[in-house]
Amino acid sequence: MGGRRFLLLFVVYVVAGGFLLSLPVMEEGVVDPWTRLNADGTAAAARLIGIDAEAHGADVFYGRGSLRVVVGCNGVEALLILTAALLAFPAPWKHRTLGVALGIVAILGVNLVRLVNLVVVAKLAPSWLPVFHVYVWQVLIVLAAVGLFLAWGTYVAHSGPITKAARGA
Amino acid sequence: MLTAAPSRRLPAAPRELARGAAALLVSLLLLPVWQASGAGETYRAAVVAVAERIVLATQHFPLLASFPGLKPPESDFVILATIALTAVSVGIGWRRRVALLLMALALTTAFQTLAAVATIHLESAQEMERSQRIFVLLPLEFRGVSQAKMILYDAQLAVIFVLFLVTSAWWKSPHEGTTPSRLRLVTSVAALFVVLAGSWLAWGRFREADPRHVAAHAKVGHLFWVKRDDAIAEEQYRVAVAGRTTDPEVYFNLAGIAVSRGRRNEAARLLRRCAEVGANPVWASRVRRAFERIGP
Repeated sequence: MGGRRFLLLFVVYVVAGGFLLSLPVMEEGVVDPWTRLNADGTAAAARLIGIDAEAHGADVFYGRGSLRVVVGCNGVEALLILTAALLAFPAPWKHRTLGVALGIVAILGVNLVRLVNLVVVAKLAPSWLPVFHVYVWQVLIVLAAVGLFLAWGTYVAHSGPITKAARGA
Repeated sequence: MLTAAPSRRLPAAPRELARGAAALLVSLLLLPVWQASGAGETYRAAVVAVAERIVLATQHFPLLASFPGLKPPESDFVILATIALTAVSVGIGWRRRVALLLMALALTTAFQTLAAVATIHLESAQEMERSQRIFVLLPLEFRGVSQAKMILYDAQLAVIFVLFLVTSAWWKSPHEGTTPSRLRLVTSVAALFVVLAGSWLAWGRFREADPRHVAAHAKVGHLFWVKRDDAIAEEQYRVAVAGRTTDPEVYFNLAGIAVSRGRRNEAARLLRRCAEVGANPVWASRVRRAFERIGP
């Protein structure tokens, strides 16, 4: 399996995954609950560091302000890209499944760090919020996906030779 | 080629992450320059301007002339990240880096422009529905354009992801010596083009047969009829007639346009059709009076 084939499959999976995730049934059944989970997790994590925060749906209220977790900052895009790369890579299915499962947990974790950070920035230095929201965290979440992919790839490479079946997958 | 991965040539993830951190740092250092020099504003304005031109040149209903209040895309972080990533990837030759940078910038700009085109279509469709009750996009089209916009956003993030991979040492060395098959590439692109063009044509036919779309053509025709722009009104009415509209006013107004251009036979035919479609005393009376004005 060559790099071009990997890239082609990656693009196909990103487009197909993006299409699936934007279907109403997926939005209601997967994306919205995931977004609410992010909001709930953010409020809980913010309380752990002493910020009085509360989540209602996708909104996180803190002090006198609030943030809404919307598409684009719920980590779904990073997860989609990571999953597409994991599935496009020639590895046994058990490794791919493990990668996707760990990827979901890891991306959720990184995204919670992102959202808590944004709450802190919004509370303490609101003028910096656009910089952190757009220029820092949008890049950082993709880099996190790259890091997870490379870490997974290293694990796959060290867990034995790729079988012929896996290479052709 | 990724065959390097199974053969344990993967670089250590921490080293690659350090490259990513350096790229993030460089992109943040570039940000004040990007903003203070006006490059960011110019880039966003250019993307919007190109998107506007594309919409004006390709819009199905001739309703839009300008796009006041259109918000420029906030995705210029992809541009900065792309520049920064190629700048810090010193492990590969500068020619390859420049080529990858140009390719990534072209792709990103194309994605952002298309996303802006999608935004214009979605916002103008909502506005027309709100203000005129005209559905310029069918529900399925609206959803499709929304989905395309979201996928275009995902694609921009994917550019950063792929650029990171292809600028890594992991990707570079196994690639040396390989030559892409030009014939295969051309064939694939041509096949993709044929599929897309075929789908577009099929969708066009499906859409023009939908009564809701036909009704939109009729309503747009009415708008231009009221504005006394007979040329566009006639164009829209003809599409509505071809779609077998059941709006009697379309036939009646189109007959009026035909009379004003000296096409009395056509006007008479349209008035008869108007009476058939209208099928009530009011339209019967209007058609009768119109026939009296046209004369024998």
